[in-house]
Amino acid sequence: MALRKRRTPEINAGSMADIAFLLLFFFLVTTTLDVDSGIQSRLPPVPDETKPPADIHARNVFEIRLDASDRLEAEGKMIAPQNLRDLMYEFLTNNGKRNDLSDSPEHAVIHVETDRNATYDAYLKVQDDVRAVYGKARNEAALSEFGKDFSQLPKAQQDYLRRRIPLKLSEAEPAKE
Amino acid sequence: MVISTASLPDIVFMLLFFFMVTTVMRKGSMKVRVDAPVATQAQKLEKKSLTSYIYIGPPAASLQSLHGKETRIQLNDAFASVEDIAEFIELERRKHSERDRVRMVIQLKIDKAAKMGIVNDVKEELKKANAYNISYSAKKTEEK
Repeated sequence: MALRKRRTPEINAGSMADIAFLLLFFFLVTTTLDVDSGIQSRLPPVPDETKPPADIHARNVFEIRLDASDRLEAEGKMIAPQNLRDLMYEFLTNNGKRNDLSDSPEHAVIHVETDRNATYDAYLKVQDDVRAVYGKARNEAALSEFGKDFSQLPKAQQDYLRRRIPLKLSEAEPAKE
Repeated sequence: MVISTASLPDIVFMLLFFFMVTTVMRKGSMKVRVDAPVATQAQKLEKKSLTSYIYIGPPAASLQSLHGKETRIQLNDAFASVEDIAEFIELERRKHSERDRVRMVIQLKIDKAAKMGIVNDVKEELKKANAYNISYSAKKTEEK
């Protein structure tokens, strides 16, 4: 029998695409483009045991309390969560005008006390508000002093404004009865 | 006109490799459920390679029969307790060079409904371990 040169069978390229699509869908479904975003924070330092606690309700301290049912209290008065930012902003930018609010942003301290049974969601909203308020204050300062948004300033000027309006956060658990 | 489909799988493979490279199958096994809260001031993590994660939340639905509903801490792949945090930080530190250690960030992925008691305990342990640089995991949202 004469040897017939067999034509090598051609692979159908169309089904390769199907296989590739399948693998693609597998990866699309099983992996996550897990967006890792979060609020950058620096933990407040461990309070010095030997120093007596500073006078909590001084004018330069803005007191925020979260109780076990997530009720918000600012400067001793119950408030609705949406009002926190405005109150804090007024405190921060007071610059000595009202004598029960801060002397200047450099002296301002935000003190947050959270009950052990408060939820994290409520706490994070407070953290979010604190940063939003400081961001707004720094942005206002950036516009008035340099004429640009805070985010558009060079690093040196941003650091200068950060030193002028430092975010001083102090945290504590409420004193046990 | 007969369009050649020979290059179609090449295109799809390119897409596939893109996804294989950019996505992370990192989670290991999530033993706790973390429903992240939203925040307007959330920023993207700068250096993912220098980030260590601490998960705090109720155990995943499938594990609740074994471990109950109490909020737990998860470090890497296993449940842990507050005392294990110091060791965890030390182990994570060893993975980086001296120079990088100061830039390390600990991200706290905490469930919305977790109680602050356990969160505060974790923060105290972090302070003791000298890990002050932290990030509270949150999904970015526009003005509230």
